[in-house]
Amino acid sequence: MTRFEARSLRPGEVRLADFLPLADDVVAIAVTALDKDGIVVTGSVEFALKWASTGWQRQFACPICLLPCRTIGIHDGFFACQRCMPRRTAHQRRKNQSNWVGNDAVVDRIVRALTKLGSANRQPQCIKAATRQLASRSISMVDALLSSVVHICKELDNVIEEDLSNFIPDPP
Amino acid sequence: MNWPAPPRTPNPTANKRTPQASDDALHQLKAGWRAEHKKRSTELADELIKDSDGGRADERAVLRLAAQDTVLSELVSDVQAQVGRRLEALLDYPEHLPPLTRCLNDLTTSRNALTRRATDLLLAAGTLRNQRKLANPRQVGHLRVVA
Repeated sequence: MTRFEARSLRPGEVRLADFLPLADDVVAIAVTALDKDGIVVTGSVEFALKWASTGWQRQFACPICLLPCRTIGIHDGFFACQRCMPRRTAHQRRKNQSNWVGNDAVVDRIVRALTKLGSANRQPQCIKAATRQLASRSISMVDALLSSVVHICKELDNVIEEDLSNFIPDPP
Repeated sequence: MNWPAPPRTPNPTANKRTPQASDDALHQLKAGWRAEHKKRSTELADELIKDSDGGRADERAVLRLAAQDTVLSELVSDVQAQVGRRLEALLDYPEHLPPLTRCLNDLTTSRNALTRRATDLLLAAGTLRNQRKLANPRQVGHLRVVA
């Protein structure tokens, strides 16, 4: 019986494929992984057997339901499979919000591209171009918003002055 | 024959804003807040990058973006406060309230989105830093026996 210590760099999940091939005598893995917010958490994962058409396959055992699974999610510091703790993506959660169509989706794409494993996704030039485009879009959005606010406020300031002047008594 | 000059009367439109003057004022306002935003976001990004010990190019880009969104959120928050003050002054004039409340609603939505975006970006920068720490080659290999 051997106990292993492993590190998983995927934010919010631990995948079995990252640790393959595993020796036969491995019974548990002490995993140091990242939460979906990037916080380092540590936990222990054991194994369970699952019949996979041609033979028994060793997979992670969910700490809650003890059923086999290939990916374990990290939810608020503890480990659970997707059956026990289903998680929706940012797109699923926020696709109907007005800002998602604009810049939020781009930010989400940038964040996912950066935190995804593999050096090919971390090309500074692409990220720089996307961030520059995003910054200019944010500024123009706020610019348009402020223009409308200034326009409305000016009109209303005139209204306030006129209406208030009716109530000011004439000087003696 | 030289006619006498007409008597000087006060110009009724002298102190009133013409559309041209109003446009110029708005343009100046925009230029002013853009310059202020650039200055503040650069300062904030420098502070954040300094706190993260330099970081790499991707982390620096994310921090700069987060700084920009934070400063924009501050600006929108200030404007929100001003609109709120006007709303308070206009409570006795209900016919003028709808455009102002709509405006306040837009501002609140934008501010929430900017704040959330800044939070997401700062979390992403933290994730990148922690990933780099975990993948540090000075540490022992990817998988090791401990017991």
